[in-house]
Formats: sequence, C-alpha cells, structure tokens
Amino acid sequence: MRGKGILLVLSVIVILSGCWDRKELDQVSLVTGLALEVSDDEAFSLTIEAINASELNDQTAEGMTPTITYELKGLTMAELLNKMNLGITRELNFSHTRTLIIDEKVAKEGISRFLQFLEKSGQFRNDFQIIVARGVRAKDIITTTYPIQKVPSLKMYEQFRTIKDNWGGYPDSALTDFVFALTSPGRHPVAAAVTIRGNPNEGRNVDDNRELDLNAVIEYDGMAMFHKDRLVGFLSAEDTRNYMWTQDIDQTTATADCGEDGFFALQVYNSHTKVTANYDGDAPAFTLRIIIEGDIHDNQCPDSLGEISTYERYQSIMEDHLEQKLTTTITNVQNKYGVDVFGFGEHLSKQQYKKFKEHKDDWDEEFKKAKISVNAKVYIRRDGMRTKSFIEQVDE
Amino acid sequence: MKANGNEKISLWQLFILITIFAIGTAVVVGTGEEAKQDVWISEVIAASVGVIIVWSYFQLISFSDQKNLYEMLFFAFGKILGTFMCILYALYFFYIASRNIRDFGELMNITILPFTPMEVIVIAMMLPVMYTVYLGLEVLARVTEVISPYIIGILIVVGLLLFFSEGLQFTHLLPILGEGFGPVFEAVFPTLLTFPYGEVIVFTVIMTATTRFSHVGKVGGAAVAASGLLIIYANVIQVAALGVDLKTRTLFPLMTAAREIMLMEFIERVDILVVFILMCGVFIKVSVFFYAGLKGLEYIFLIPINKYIIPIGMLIPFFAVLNSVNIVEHFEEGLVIVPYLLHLPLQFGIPVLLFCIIWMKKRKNKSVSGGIAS
Amino acid sequence: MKKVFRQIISSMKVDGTNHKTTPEDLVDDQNGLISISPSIKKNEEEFNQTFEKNYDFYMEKVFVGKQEGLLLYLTSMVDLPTVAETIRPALANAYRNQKQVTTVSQLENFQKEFFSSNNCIVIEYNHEVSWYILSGFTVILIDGLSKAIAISTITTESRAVEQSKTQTIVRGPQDSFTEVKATNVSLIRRRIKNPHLKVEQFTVGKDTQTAVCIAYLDNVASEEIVRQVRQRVKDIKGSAIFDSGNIEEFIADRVITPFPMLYHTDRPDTVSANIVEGKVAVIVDGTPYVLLAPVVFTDFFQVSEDYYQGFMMASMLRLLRYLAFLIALLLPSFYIGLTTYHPQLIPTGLIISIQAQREGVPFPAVVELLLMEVTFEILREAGVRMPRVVGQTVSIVGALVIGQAAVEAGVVSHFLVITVALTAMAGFVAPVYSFANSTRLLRFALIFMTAALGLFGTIIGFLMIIAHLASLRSFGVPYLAPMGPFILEDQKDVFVRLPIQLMKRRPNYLHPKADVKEPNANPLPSKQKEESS
Repeated sequence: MRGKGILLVLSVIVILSGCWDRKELDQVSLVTGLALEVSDDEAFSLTIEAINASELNDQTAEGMTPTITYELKGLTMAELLNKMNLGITRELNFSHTRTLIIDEKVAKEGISRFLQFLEKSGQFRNDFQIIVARGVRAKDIITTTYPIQKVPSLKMYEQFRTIKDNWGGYPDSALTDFVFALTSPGRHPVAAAVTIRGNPNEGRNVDDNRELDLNAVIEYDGMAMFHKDRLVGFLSAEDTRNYMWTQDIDQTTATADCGEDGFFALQVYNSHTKVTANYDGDAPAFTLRIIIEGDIHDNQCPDSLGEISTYERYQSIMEDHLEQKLTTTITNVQNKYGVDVFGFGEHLSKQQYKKFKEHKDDWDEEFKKAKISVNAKVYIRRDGMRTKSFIEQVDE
Repeated sequence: MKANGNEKISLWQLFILITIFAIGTAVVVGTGEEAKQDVWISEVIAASVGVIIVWSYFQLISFSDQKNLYEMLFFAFGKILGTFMCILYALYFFYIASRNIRDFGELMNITILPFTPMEVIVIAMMLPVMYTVYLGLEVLARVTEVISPYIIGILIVVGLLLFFSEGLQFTHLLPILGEGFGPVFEAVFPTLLTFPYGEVIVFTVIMTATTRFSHVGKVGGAAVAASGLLIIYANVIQVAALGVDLKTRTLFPLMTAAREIMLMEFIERVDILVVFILMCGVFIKVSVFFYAGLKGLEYIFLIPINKYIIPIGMLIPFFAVLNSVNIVEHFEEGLVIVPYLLHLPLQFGIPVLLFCIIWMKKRKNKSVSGGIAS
Repeated sequence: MKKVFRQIISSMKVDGTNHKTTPEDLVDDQNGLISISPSIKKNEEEFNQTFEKNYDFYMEKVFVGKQEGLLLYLTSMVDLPTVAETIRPALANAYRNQKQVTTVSQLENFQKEFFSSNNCIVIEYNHEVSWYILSGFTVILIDGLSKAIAISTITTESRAVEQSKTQTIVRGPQDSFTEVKATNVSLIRRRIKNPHLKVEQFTVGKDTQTAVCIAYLDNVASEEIVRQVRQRVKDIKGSAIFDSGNIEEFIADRVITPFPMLYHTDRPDTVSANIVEGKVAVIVDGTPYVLLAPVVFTDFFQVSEDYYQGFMMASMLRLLRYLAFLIALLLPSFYIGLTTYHPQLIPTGLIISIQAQREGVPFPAVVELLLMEVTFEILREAGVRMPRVVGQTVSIVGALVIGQAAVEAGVVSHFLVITVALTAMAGFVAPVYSFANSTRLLRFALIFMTAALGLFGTIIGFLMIIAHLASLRSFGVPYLAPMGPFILEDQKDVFVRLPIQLMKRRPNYLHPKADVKEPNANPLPSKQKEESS
C-alpha cells in the first residue's frame, strides 16, 4: 500500500512537472520552404517560407499574404533557423517542410554541408524535395504565388507529384534519395530544377492571383546533375523524362513520327526497365531492356489503326525512336558531364561485385567509356474510342 | 524455498515472453552493421545459434533438477561465492535494464521529445515497469500476451505500408555475400549473438516457473526462432527501405524507414507506431530484467521482491542517466565493452562453468550414494 | 409465478435451511430465540408492540376451528382479495366444522386441509412471525399452540414487464426484469426449463432484509465459482441493500479499480444465455438489474443481439464496439498529444486547417479540451437527472447554445468540438453503462498524462491500464481472459462471432463442468447439401 502511494506521488510529480515539449499550435509557425543563397559578407543566406494558416482557411482568409518569408545571413543552418525570430514572432516548426530551394551558385560550391544538418536534425522529415533554382534567385521561387495553392512550396510539391504520376519526367529528389545517391559509389545525385516564367517581382504580389494570365509562374525545368555534391549541369525536361525511363518510369506519353505526315503519341501505362551490367573487355557494358505497354492516343497519320500491320509498324517505329532517344541522352551525359547519375555503377555492383570493386574509386572514368545499348520492346494494346481515323478520308 | 513462489506461467506465455523479449528493441535499433546488406544472413546464423543457446540453458536447468539460475549458483558455488555470483547476476540484469531504458530515452530525446529531460523520460518509463513487476510475473506474462499482437502486427504493417508506398527496393539487398562470409561472422560474433539471443539467459530465472517444464526447451527454441524471423523481417525492410549506407548511419533504422511511408496522402507520418513498438518492447524487456534481478536479491537477502521494487526501481533510471555522459559513450560501451566484459562471461562462461561443477558434484554424489548401495 | 415461489420455499424446507431465510438479525439481541407463546393474549401484546405505530398493521381475533386465534398481516403488503377469498372462507369452514387444532400435528393437518392451495409454512419463533408478516404473509396464531401458520398472500402488484430501458436491441426478446424478484426468477426459468437450474436464496442487509438469489446450472457452472459466489453473498455484512450495485462492491474481488467487476443487465435473455454458458446470476429483490459473475473484459463488448443476427454483421458491429471503446478512451489524448506535442505526425493539409482554427483561441489546447469535456459531463449529468419534461431544453441549450456559441466566440476551435462530440458518441456505444463510466474516468487520467508527456504519456498510461487489467480477477477468472491468458479456443466469440455451429464449446476460462454445449449440434451446412436440396 505504501508502495502504491509512492508510485502515485511519482506519477503526480511527473505529470505536474511536465510540458517541456508542449507547444501550442498557435505558438508555432509551420515552415514549408527554405531557400539557400550565397551571401557576400557571410557564408550564406537562408530564407524561410512560413505559413500564415488563417489565410489558407476559407472562413478566416482576409486576402493577406499566405506565407511569410524572412531572410537571414549566417554561418550554420542550425543557428540561423533558431535565430529567425529576429523577424518572426513565433517559434518555427520544420516538420512540414516541403522544399529546399538551392541557388545555382550554392549548388556549384557543394551542398553537403547543408544536407548533413537536415539529415541529422530530428525536426526535418525525409519528404521534402531538393530543388535547384535555375537562372533565378532561390528566394524568388518561394515568393511566387499561385491561385490554387497559395503557398509556393506546396504548389511545387503538388505539381511535382502530378508530373511524376502523369508525364513521368520528374526525378524524385527527396533528402534520402539525394543522400543515398551521394553516398553510393556507383551513382551521382540529381535534383529537380525549377525556374520562373514571367516577372519574379510581380509574382510576389498576392494580387497577381487576380490576373487571368499570371505574371509569374513557377515552372518545372528538368533536372540538375551533381558530381558528388556539386552541381555540374542541367538536363532539359525532355531529357529528364528519358533519364527517368532508365530508372523505371511509371507512366508517360511518348511521341514518334509515323512517316512524313506527322506524329503519333503513345500513352505508356506500363513500363519496365531492366539493366544488365557486364564487362566487355576493360570497358563496362550495359544493356537496358525496356518493355513498354501503351495505347495510341494521337495519330496524325492516315494509317488505319484497324490493321495489325499498322500496330506492328508503329511498335517498331516507337522502339527505334526510344532506343535512339535514350542512347542520345545517355551518351550526352557521358561525354558532356561524365557523371553517372543513372546509377549504372550501382547496377554493376549488384550484379558483378568483384569487377565493380576494382573500379570503385575511379568509377566516373569507367563510366565515360561504358558501352550502353538500349533495347526497347513496345506493345501497343489499343487505340482510343475510334478505330479508323477520319484523316484517311480528309486526305482522299 | 520454491522458485518464483507459487506464480506459474503457461508455456504459451513463456513463448510470447521470450519472443517479445528478443524482438523488443532489436527490431528498432540497428544491429550488425558490419555485415552491411547481408545482415539478414548474420541474423539467420545468430538466430540458429540462439535456438541452440536457449536449448542449452534449458538442458542446464533440467540437468540441475529444475533449479533456477540463482539456486544453481548457490548449489554450485556454495554459500559465499554463490552469494557473490548472485549479486553479480542481479547487478548485470539491472545494468542491462538501465541500458535499455537509456536507449529508449535517447530515442525519445532525438525524435519526439527533444526538450524533455532524460530523467523524466526514464522515470516515467519505469512507472509501468514497477507497477507491472509489483503485480507479479503472471501479470507481466498476461500483459505481454495482450500487447504482443500489436507489437508484431505493427511491425508487419510497417513493412507492408512501406511496400505499398513503393518505399522498398529489394535491390538494396544485393550483392549477396559481396565480401564473403567474413563481415557476416564479424557481425554475428559477438554483437548479434549476445544481443538479443544471449540475453535470454535472464529466462533461466523464469523458465522454472512454467507449468509444464519438460516442454520448455522446445518452446524456448521455437520462441527464439520466431523472434529470429521477425528480426530478419525487420532487417530486410530496413535495408530495402533505406539502403545499407543510410541504415548503418541511422540510430533507429526502423523509425527512419517508417518515415518513408506515404500512402494515399493520408497514411503518412506514422513514426509513432515505431515508437509504440519500441516502447512496448523496452517495457517488456526491462520488466523481465527487473523481475529477474529482484528475484536474485530475494535469494540473497531472503526478503520478498515487493520490498525492493521502489528503491531498485528508482535506481535503474538513475543509473540509466549516469551510465554514460553522452550518446556516443553509451553506444561505445554497449558495442565494445559490454559484450566482452559482461555478455560473454555471464551469458556463456558462467553457465558452462555451472554445468561442469554441477556435473562433477552430481557424479560425486552418485559415486558416494553408489558406494553406500553396493 | 406462484409455482416458482412454492418451489423455492419447498426446497428450503427440504434443505432445512429455514432459518437462513429468516435471518437472525431480527432476533432480539438480549433474549435470543423466543418461541411463539401459546397464549393469545401475550401474543397480542407482543405483536402490537412490535408493530406499533404502523397504520397498516392489521390484527384480528378469529376462531381457528374451536380455538381462538389471531390473524396478522400488513395491509400494505398483502393482496387483500386473496385474504378474503382464501383465508377467510377456510377459517369460516374450520369454524363450522369445529375443527380441533390443539396439537402440532393437528395444526399441520389443518394447514394441509385448508391452505394446500397457498404457499404455507409452519413457523415457531417470534422473529419468524415478524419476518413473514413483513414479507407479506398472513400469519395465524392459535391459542394454546406455540406454532403458527404463515400463508403467502403477498401482493403481486408491481410494474409490468416492460422493454429494457438501458440495453435496447432491435431484434430479439424485448422484455426486461422488474423490481420483483419472483418475476425475475420466473423470467429466467421460463427461458431455461431445466431441472439443473438452481436458484438459491439468501437474505442480506441488516436493516433491509433483502432477498438475494443466485442462479446457475449445476451441471455446467464450475463448482469453484458457484462456491465463491455463494460464500461472498452469504458474507455480505451491510445495512441496506437496494440495488445490485450495493451488492457489487461487497462481492467483487477488487474494489479499487475503475472497471466494473460484475456484469449488470436488465435483460433476461442475456442473463439466461450467460447462465447456460456457465456463469452465475445474482438476483437482488427490488431491482431490475441482475448481476452476472464471473465477468471478463470482453463481455462488455457483447450484446445479446450479436447472437440473433448474422455472424458477419455481428462480428462487424462487435469490432466497431472495440473501436468505439478505443476512440472514447484515447481520442482526446491523441488530439492533445498530436496538436501540442507532435505536429510532425499530422498530415500537412490537416494541420494547416487545425492551426487556422486555433488562431486566436485564448486557452492552451488542454484547458480548451478539459473545458469542453467538463461541460459535456455536466450536460450529460443534467440530462440524466433532469425531469423528462425539461430534458429537451437541456439538449437544445447544450448543443446549440454552448457548442455553437463557444466556437463562434472563439473560445474553442471547431476541431475540438468535433473531437469531444465524437468521443462522447463513442462512449455511448458501450453496451454496459458501468463500463462506459470507467472509460470516462480513464479518459481524464490519460488526458493528464498526455498533457504532461505527449503521446509518450498516453502510451505509458495505456500500458499501466493494461497491467492493471491483467492483474484483475473476477471470481478467480482473469479479467483479460481469453486474451491474457490467451486461450485459442475461446477466440471464436471475442473480437468476432463465428457461426453458431462452430461454437460448440463453452468458454474455457469459465472452467465449465460440461465443456461441450451439444455433442450432436448441427455441423455447418456444407456446400454439397445445398446443391442436393
């Protein structure tokens, strides 16, 4: 009985003395985006994008700014983030951070010193995207508003997810993916790149959302390639889609020419990529086998899709087209940048560990001379609501 | 004095106790870094050896006519040395309990309660442990039975959710045995062997309290095998979700892996599930160690265990905080010093010694009694 | 009903447990047992004194055959037409025949001759006379004899058997127990027509002398459990017993626990079903609530309707009840824990809208929550205690004025109102009232734990609750059975209910004497059978 009493007292003490970590929701600001830029006088400058929640609720919105941005310069991220209260009233909470925007200049200098903080800190989660601002200031990205998702970071996050699910040309660059590629000896990291179409200064105004033709829109602009943690170059959105095809894409639409008259588009709903790694003499050789299933959704040529022969012809056209496009993208990266963002080294390490071990340290050199062959197999399953195209009759 | 008073647990309860005890913290904290992606192979080996270890413990007990650990120690080493040995084991169990509590405190400090003092966390964690042990072994067994479906269920669900949110890349498990068996064995011995399978030594105190002792060996072996499977499962999803490098750099890989879960834009941010697993695991583990240690004190000082619960129960969080000044020291101690200085001798050395002494004593007795008979 | 009553009384006679039913509490402490005086004069004085200042005490000098006698009863307790129709004609008859009633054997003959159609008993002590009068019997004292006859003339007036008020079901029997013990016993007997059904009676309560029956199937219920129940009921040392709730604390294994240690219900079908399973029912005179012992945790999630409808639907509803229990217990704690300690665990979209609504709320979330919870508890208590007529007002004031106004005034946030309302609704799902109350209590404990340590505190509290539950025993049966200790065979009727054909065995944890319910029970209809038919 006395024991129970003591237990009770202990529980009461614990309960009464608690609340170290208690933070009321109206005492914190949720940060959704961070922007890193170089600074002349200090090591770098950091801008945060914090949510003004009542502006995102229909009932409480008053037409004010949906986010609050604030910039500080300093030496370490950890300190800067705590110091933000120089200009911001509330304590910051980073668990809902969606984007980390990196200025091109910072990216060229190397970003691992920032990432290690983000990874170590228990406050951040893995689900934010690392994004390189291409040609514009990083800060401008998180100050460009959009009518539906008023918070720029949330807009980008949603947009990227949609791109990934539909057109497929988006490289997932969450923190874990990035760090994984960074630490893997047979792969270099990539990150998404964004830019602003229009005038960044006008995008800053909430009133910009009233325009039918927005003055500034954040636009996805392919991907950035890194050597270790340093930016070496960009790929266009089209090339990024090809890149993603080497990484096993889910869904996309591919266009090839169906003769002199025009093009046809294949909506791919199932694609499977398999990489076979081997050593051909002293140069590594990789074979990409891609199996694609899709429907024809657009056909500008008069060929009748009611015949098997057309299907077969289109299939082989598409195969050739894809093989050629992918090979071009890969060799372009090989020759121009020489960084293995495709993870071919990783495939080699899984399949021929001993060979890879020999070249582990000079893998980039090996990658440059690697022979890549792409082998696509396309299956066209069906073609929309109409079998025969009326173009046939138009032409006659 | 009858072992464990009149408290009896069923074979099923023993099974579930050992299983949850073994997976308790092992599924959450990263083990076997040396083996990299082949950690599951190490785990297979360790679990197989674990089965043998448990079987041997059972054989040792049945060989000594169902004496529990403390009775065996007294029987083998006599009054004075036996008392010393009992104190040694009791302290060992308390120490491991405090280590587990500290592990847990570190996780809470790092992840969900960064500003709460460690002291508060460990004392709060000790409250249910003390309460349960106060209520007795049977209650502990029943509590384990009740919460075990949730622990195992959540563990499996975390894996499934990861699978469905396309977070698992099984290619991370390749290449198999890229560096040969060397690193695999390096991981098995001594870390994986002593943690968690060697720790089953604590059940030599409890095994004798089962209703049908003759089956304990089989049940114990099955329990270790079952926990082995679950630990392998956990290891595989950790590696497949995070990759080897990240897995080895993370303090609590399952937690990090669970953060990758994103499903239907609704099932996400489910870390608390992993915290729940670890909490229940730590709770059971510490309760078992705490109970076993208290039992030792009961044998030494002949005072029923309920008298010790408050003082010792308060010492454990105290030591959990004071054991090491920082997290690195804590893990260093756990990986470098403890296995060689404590685990190996107390989990394997002394039991082997016990077996020899009891065997000799028995032979002597037999020859003496045989002499009289003839 | 009378038949039942007679059966009880005759069984008492056979057992010789006569004295037990006329408890010694009425015996005069100073003088001990006093036999009935053979002198009518003396008796007249005696009982006039005993029942003085009672308007309803009726005493009349009559002739019993040749002898003089006294007719005693309480007008408020007896059924006057019965007295007029049976006792008076019998006495008149006896007088006409000049019956000789001077010896005990003649008395017995007299009783057999004239009152054989009534429940009738020969008594010999003063305190018995008082007791039977108080119980609604008519007592006839005869001059020159130190024995008396007590004839049951108890009024059958009572509330009619109505629909259950607290545990309503859609499909299944709609009757419920009343305040009259005899009615209640008959409701059970009508359902279990089985000579193995034993109904033992005891009288407890020093001041109220309440009759308490225990009912069980003696070929099913574990002897140990029956013995314990019987012993504990006998050992009750209380002054006043008005409801089974009074009994509950006396016979429960543990009192310091928020959980009910006995199941109470006013549904005869539930009681009968449980008796058949091997449990013991405790019926208290004067209350429609019958207790069932032993009880396990999972019993509180079962309702009799589970067995009257398809097993799939029943299983789903049962799982829903468990879910509702968890919601009622944990939801407020989760709300507090997630919003004030772990905002990282809430999906982004959700947390933004929660935050938007919390802007400007002047209290910390815990205070806000406690405010609403306490308000709700007050409303609830008011709703229960309030006269039915004004009940409507309460709900209007509660729901509209307080809820709506509080949100509009910005004192509480919408989400909190949703949380509290959902919690409250989930609390009402619990089929047994006392169990719902224990959730209410523990909910507050968990809120405090969570307020101090976040979800960590919730889980600690939860573990302690489980440890507490695991330590409880109800009449020797572990409270968490069949989950802890885990009994595989009994799982068929815990979280889900399997088809009735698969439930051939009684729950193991009750240690039934007869394990199998019906050895030749129908098997599940096989597919082949369906095809052939």
